[in-house]
Amino acid sequence: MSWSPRVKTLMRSLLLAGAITIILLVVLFPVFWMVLTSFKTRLQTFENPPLFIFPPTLEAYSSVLNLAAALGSSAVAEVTSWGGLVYPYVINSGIVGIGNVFLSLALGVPAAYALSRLNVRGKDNIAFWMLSLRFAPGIAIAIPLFLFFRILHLFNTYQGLILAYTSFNVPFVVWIVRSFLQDMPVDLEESAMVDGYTRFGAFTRVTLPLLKPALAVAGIFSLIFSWNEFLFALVLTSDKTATFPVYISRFYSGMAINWGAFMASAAVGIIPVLVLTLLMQRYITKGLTMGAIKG
Amino acid sequence: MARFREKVERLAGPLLLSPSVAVLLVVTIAPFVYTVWLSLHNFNLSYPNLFPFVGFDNYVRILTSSEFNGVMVNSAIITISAVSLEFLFGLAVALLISREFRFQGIVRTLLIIPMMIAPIVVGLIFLYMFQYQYGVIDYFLQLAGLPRLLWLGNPSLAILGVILADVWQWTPFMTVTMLAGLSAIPKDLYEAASIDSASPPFLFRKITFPLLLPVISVALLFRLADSLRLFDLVYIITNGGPGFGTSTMSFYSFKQALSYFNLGIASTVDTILLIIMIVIANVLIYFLRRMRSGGSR
Repeated sequence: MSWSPRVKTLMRSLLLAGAITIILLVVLFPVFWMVLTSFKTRLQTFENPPLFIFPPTLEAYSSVLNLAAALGSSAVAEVTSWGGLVYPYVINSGIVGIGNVFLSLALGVPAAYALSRLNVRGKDNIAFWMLSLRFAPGIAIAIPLFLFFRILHLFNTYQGLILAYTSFNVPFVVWIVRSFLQDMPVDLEESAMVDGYTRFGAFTRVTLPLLKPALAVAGIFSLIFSWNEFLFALVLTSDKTATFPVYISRFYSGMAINWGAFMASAAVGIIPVLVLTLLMQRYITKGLTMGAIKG
Repeated sequence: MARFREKVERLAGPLLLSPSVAVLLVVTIAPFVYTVWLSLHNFNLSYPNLFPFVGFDNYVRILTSSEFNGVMVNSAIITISAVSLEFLFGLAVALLISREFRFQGIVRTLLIIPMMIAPIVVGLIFLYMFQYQYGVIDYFLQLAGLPRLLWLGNPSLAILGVILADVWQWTPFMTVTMLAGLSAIPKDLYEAASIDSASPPFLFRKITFPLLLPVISVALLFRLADSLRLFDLVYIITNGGPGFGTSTMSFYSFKQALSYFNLGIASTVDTILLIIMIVIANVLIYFLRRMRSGGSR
């Protein structure tokens, strides 16, 4: 039996389409399930078989965002099992994340410049040492820092957590910016220096503008790493400065989890990251693969 | 003036480098040194004034305890199965979507969503889906005519649950990395081979796989290190239980330190983990250095 080439191509593309659809279903289902559950009433989240079609309610969002006042209903205040609103934690995550991005860039960019453009003894070894910190076991940092921070009054402060997060974000920034600089021709900078600019002038006028994509990649990832980080936040903060992941983990402690409220706050907490991902898709792919395919 | 400038130039490197090196020494190396130091002592936060030096007693105690051996086995099982599944699925998906097709851009963007979500959120979503009474995974199993499973009731299934969540979240990392690696393979290699009408499996064995190997090894090492340190998913999906039946090394150390205040033991576990990580990091650096001198860039 022989197929005409056209039928063959058609079958192949149908197979490909089918396979890709299945992959996307698997990849997106948990996210879809989270969003769907966030629109259920508390009782509906426990139903068996699970509900796929139902009239959506904002009950869960009300309980974690305190929309009650805005929507003029008062019956939702007791819905959250442990009675916390998500705002303060999202704000804490924002403060720590943004603070850390600035600190990591301020420390990492000059270091990356020195490691790729200036004469420093053993700079390759320093660069690889920094990369190897990407493998540092968090728990072996978190516990000693917990002990140090209690003495230094940095426990449960924004500064403390921001400082702790430099342990993985500074190496990341250095690595990303250094690989960009290595791919960038030195000639531009050198000719600017021949034209009378100082090295600093050449850097700010010539190199820095070309470095914008690198700063975007490094900044976005530092922000997302801080935003998602759980172990350090769990060990180094308590109520006042706890971040969004710590808030999420507390849904677990209740006797019966309020799944709807949890899914609603999870959705609130990951929306910023997803929006950033979709807007900055180009940079995200670059950042993800940089560590793996660049030496 | 020229000599002044020369001097500035010479000092600039160390000057720009030292702030970050100093900070990293404080937030990584100092904790590591302190961890090793603590591991040689018996130190419990409930008795902060007692700090007897015990040499390698903690190591002997830990390495001969069946509890900790179980924990190491858990870490090994999770790491080996999660990373191999991620590698196989990741490579398959990358090969599948590396060819041109419509909506390729959208598909690639949607694929990276899982790894952007906080692991703690991923853990709780899976915890909800794994529920016996009302979980959607058991519902699907039932629809397929399979028995419902009490996912979180026994250690082996609970570990499988943790592995599945990790595989869901990190397979895209493998895919994205391999896609980047695939796109770096020169197209004319395939063209030259197709003149000799080589079969696709032959092309894969002789061109794709060997040229992808450096990227594969680096990606595997990254994932290996991440899943050996696994903490978030275990914390939220199983809380290490039942007993320590699903604890990983990081989680066990966390429990020892912050539930039992047993910092000597916790630091011993951390030191062991640290040694493993140093080995992995050095293997990675060896690969990267070889890639660079091998003229691949």
